Amino acid sequence: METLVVVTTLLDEQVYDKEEIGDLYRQRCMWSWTFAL
Amino acid sequence: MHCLGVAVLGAPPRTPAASDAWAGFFRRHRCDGLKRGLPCLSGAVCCGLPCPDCSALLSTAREAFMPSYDPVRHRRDCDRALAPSASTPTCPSPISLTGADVARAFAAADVHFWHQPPGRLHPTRGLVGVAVARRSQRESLPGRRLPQRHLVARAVPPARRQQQRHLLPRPRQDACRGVAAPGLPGRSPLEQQVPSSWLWRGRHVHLVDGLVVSMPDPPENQTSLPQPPGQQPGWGFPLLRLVLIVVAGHRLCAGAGLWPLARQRDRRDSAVPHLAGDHAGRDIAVLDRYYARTSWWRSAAVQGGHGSAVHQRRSCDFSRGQRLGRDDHVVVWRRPERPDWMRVEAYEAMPKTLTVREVRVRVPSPVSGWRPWWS
Repeated sequence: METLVVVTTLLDEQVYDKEEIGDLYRQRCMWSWTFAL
Repeated sequence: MHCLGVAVLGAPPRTPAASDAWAGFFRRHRCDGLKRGLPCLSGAVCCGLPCPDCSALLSTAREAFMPSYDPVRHRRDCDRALAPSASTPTCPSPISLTGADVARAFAAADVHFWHQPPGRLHPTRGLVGVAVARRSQRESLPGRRLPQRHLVARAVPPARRQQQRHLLPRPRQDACRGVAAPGLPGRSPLEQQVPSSWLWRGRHVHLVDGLVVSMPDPPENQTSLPQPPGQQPGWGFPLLRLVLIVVAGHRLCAGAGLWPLARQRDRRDSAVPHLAGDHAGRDIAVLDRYYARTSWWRSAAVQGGHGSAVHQRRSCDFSRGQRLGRDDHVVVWRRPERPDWMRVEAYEAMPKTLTVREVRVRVPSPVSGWRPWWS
C-alpha cells in the first residue's frame, strides 16, 4: 500500500467522503491502463 | 472523436518482432510484475462509479499496455468496453470506430495517420506507433528514412497553428458534445441521456491524462514545435504534449489537445481546465500530479470547474487548516509571485486565495521503483 495526497475542490466532507475520492483514482487507474496513457 | 485514444494508442498490428521486443523490454526493466501486481478492481472497490464488468475491463487493461495490438482484437475489446453504453436503451449507442474510420475523419482536418513498418517499431515508443503529418509532409515522408525511435510526426500548418488546440474540426466537436439543450447548456445529447446511476455524486467524471512524444526534426517541426530551452542546439528533438480526456460515465473521449512542450506554457495549462471543465460546477476532472500546480487550480477556479489531483509532494501537514477528519483538512492557498512565463493578465485573473481540500488516501502499489499507475 502506498499513500498519496489528493488535492480537491470538493470541500464538503459530508457529501464527498475521503475514501470515495480515493476510489476516483482507482477508476482512473483502470482507464489509464485501458487506453495505455 | 470518440475513438481518438483508440486510433492513436492501439493501432500497430501484432507482430512477433514487436512482441519479442516488448518481452525483452519488460525483462530488462523488471516491470513484468507491474502487470501481475495490478490490483483487482472489483465492483465493490469501484463503488460510486459505473463499473458494470470490471473483470472484462481489467483483462483489457492488462493487455492494452502492449503496443502490438491485433486490429481485430482491438475492435473486439473496444466493443466490450463500450458494451454497457450499447446495451442501455436509454443511452444512445456509441459507435466504435476502427483506426481507418478515425483516419478518414481526421483527413477532413488535414491530419493524416499512417503506420510505421512493424519491423521498425521501437519497443518503448511503439505505444504511439502512428505518424501524423500534414498533407505536404505525408507525400515526402514515406520515402524518407526516419530514425527508428521517432515514430510520431506531426506538423501543424502555420495558418492553423493557433486553431489546433482541438484536433477535430469544430463542426465535429459540436456533433459530439456541443449541442445544447434547455437547462443543460453545452451538454451533448449523449451526456444528457446517460443514466444518473452512471454518474459520481451526480457529476460526470473527466479522466485527464497526457503524454509527451518526440518528433522528427526537419526545419518545419523545429519552427512549429521548438525544443525545450534546456536542450543544447544540435541535441534532442522537438517535443509534443498530447492530452486526452475520457469521460468515465459514457467511456468516450470528450476532448483532446496538442501543444508544443516548450512554448505557450500558460496557454497550455489554461486550456486543460477549459477542456475538462466545460460544464462549470457540474463536472469533476481527475488529474495526475502534473496538474497539482497552483496555477492550474486557479485557472480552474476562475472557470468554475472542480477537480482532484495528486499532490506533488507526498508530505503534507494535516495539523494546519480546518480539520475535517483523519488525514483530511481544508487549507487556503495564497497566490504566489507571478512566474516569468505567465502573462500578466492571466495572473491578475486568478484569485488571490484558493480554498482546497487535501486528503491522504491509501492505494495499492503494484511494484516499487516504478512510476505508480495512478500518478
